[in-house]
Amino acid sequence: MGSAILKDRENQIFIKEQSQGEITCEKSSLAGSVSQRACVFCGSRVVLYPVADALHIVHGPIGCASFTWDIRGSLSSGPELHRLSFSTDLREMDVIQGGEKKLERAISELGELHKPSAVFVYATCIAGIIGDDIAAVCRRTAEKLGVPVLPVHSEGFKGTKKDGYKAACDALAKIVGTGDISGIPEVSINILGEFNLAGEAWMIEDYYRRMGVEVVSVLTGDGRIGKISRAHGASLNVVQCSGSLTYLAEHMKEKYGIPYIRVSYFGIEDQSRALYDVADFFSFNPGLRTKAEEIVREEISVIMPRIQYYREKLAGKKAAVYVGGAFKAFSLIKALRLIDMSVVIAGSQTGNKNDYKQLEELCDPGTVILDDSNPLELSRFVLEKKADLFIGGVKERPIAYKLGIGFCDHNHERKIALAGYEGMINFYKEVYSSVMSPVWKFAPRNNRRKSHE
Amino acid sequence: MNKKTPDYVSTSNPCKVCSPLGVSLAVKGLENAMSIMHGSQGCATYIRRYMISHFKEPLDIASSSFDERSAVFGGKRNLRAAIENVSLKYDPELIVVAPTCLSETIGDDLRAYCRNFDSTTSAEVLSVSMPTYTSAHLVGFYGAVRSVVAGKEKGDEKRQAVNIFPSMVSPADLRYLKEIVGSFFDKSMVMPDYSETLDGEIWGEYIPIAPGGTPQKDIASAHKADFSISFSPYTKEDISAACWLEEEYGVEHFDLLPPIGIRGTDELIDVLSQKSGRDVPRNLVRERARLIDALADSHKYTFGKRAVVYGDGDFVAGIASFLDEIGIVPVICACGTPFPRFEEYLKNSLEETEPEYIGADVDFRDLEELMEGKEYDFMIGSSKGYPLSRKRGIPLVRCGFPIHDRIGGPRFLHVGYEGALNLLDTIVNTLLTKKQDDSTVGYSYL
Repeated sequence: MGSAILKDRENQIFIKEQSQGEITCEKSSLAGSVSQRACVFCGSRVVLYPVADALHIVHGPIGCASFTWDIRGSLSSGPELHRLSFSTDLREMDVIQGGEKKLERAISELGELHKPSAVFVYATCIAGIIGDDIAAVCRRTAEKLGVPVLPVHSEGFKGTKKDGYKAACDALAKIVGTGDISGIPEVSINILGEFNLAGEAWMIEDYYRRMGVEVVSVLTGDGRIGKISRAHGASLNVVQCSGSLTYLAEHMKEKYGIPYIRVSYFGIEDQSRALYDVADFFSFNPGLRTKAEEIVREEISVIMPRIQYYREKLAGKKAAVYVGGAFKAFSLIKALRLIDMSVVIAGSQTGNKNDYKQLEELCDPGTVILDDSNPLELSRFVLEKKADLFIGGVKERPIAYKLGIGFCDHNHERKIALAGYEGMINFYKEVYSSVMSPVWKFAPRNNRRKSHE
Repeated sequence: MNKKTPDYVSTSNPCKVCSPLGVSLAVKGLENAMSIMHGSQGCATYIRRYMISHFKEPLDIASSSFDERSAVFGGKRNLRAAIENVSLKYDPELIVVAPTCLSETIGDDLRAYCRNFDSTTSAEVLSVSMPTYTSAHLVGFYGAVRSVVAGKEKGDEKRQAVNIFPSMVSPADLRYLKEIVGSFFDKSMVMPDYSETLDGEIWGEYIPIAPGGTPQKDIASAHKADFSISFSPYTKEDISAACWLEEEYGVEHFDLLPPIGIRGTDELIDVLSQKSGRDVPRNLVRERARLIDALADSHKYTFGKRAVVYGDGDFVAGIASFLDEIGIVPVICACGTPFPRFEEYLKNSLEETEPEYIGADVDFRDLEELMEGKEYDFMIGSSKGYPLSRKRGIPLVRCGFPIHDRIGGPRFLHVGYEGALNLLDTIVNTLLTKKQDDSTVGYSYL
């Protein structure tokens, strides 16, 4: 049997109070390591996906479009163009002759067919290699269709998923600033990095509304081009999922002087802080803080008795957490602590030095911190640390199940709201039904039937 | 029977995936083997995610993780690192390298890379030769099987009497095929065989490469077998392992209809019985008889019903053939990938019914337009047809690959008499559910 940890990856694994120095991160995945990461295209696609009145055309051979068809649980209150898959489906002749003509015809025919408010054109590996001038095609078709047609430079090999976030933000930045901002009150925000999985953005928007804060736009949950175009009229950007939309927040700070704060809507503590921080930003209006306190009190009083129930059942259980962005891991650790569960493995695909430093501070001694990990490492530590539960995305699920432990999906494909106060109960319920299911009793590690061995 | 839809230049809601996916699936069915996608990291990861949602099993697929440097100067260095790291971690006996559209476009010569590979790995390293963007997943699937059969170092020993090269069927299908063939021949090879690797048990500890798969020694002896059987229209192309064995080593080749339904299964069993000189065993005779009995029980519910069949060419032909046998009209037969002789091939598998449309390279928008203005009783194919079935209010019988919105896809049996019985029950019960749900009376006897 091979070894679980490759020498070139040793520095991307850090055990609190045992390892020396600091963790290595923000580098390309090691070839052959079976990384759980995707590519630049994936980063762009996840950020822009929820914009529901835009056409998302993938320029390349079919795979990239097939794999991202209806892939996320991002809800829309109106149009659902984002749930369809469009591709130029490049073939051999297109690759030889160049794909520009085909792209131009594809944008025109799909534009006329679906009447979108904008078009995003994703460049895949091939588009980048054959040198199609996608920007020029976009300019030409934008004129014809009368809506913005925006290139997204998401060639898979041109960096990591994070570079894809940046490419998506570049495209969004071209829409922001084009709309009419008259009538937007001073107490107004944009919510960035919230993708409306299972309607989470609606829950969060509702909290802010109840406080008296106007939400100008959500980027990109339940996204509409019209709303995004007015985003520069807001007074504050509230950024969740720090990895993906910070580029846009930085851009808007520079160009429009709009400050931003980082928040998380996951976990009682973080969700409440997300409301208080916004209230405090608009401190000239003390009513906001009072209102926020009221909401927090009200919401917590509803869920606390149920949390108590889950705490009694789950206290002492151990979780392994492996997620896309490190910010989510912070929230998960805090949320699990609230029910007296501990986190024994905490890792992310795209964390940076700062993220991992914070993660280390937050973790218990002995916790394994992982950057850009893979099935063999994850499974080894899950067993070593005797985790009862794995929290991650679809690709981590079979790792947990093969080891005979519970799994919670905390990725973009889930269909259950886990943000906000209500989401907290959903989360605990998920954890509870995963860990406490009687089926694990039959798993080999708990059930050694002599007669069958 | 011409294409009625306008000729779109774009593809919407595709009814196909890409060829590297097919390679990874085939390699999962080879004993102690690992695949490397030679391209960007995303290819391997997306393929893993797509297949995990269907098989619900680990799918460790490596990538040579291209960066800008490799895209400009070629991916040899990355491939070398990938092979070494995969060897260290997984210690496979065989590594299969798949080209992706990126590596093919920049002109990486994988054959040369793999042949002159001077590394410390003890694994045999083979590359797949296939077009990456002209076709789809099936091409990768067959291409991988052929490249491995052709490229593998040959053994001297005769191990199996017959090589079976199935299409992209389910693990349950593979198990059953092995059982059928096993009742005629003591030693046979089914390749690929992911019946255990992609429908396995809980382990307790993580096993880097799932146990099971076509034995490496059998693959090395494929050229010594008496004959091969394949079930695919693609076998006429240059990507069929059975064709290669016939051309290079004179191994007799039977290219059969997919063994879905009675005719297809009969044909397979006849060949097996004839070649082995053994009678059809009693259990198979009984299975066939039970199936015919069930057809009689259900013929009133099926006769004249109108179905829409979509998916891979051989799958569509197999399903259409079975529907035809039980009196259901496969009104629309749509193949998701390009397939020049599809109409001819499909018509050969029908006896009773005449489809209104037979076409290849069809996406779900084409299918939606084809279906417009007419009534259908059900759709049959992968779960990717669900949005359309929901929109049209037509029941969907999920089978084939992928099934992303139900459990049990890998355990769904399509082939042989038992598979036909399973299909029959599923189809008829779908029709009865619809009838019952739509009825104002709600009879409890139907």
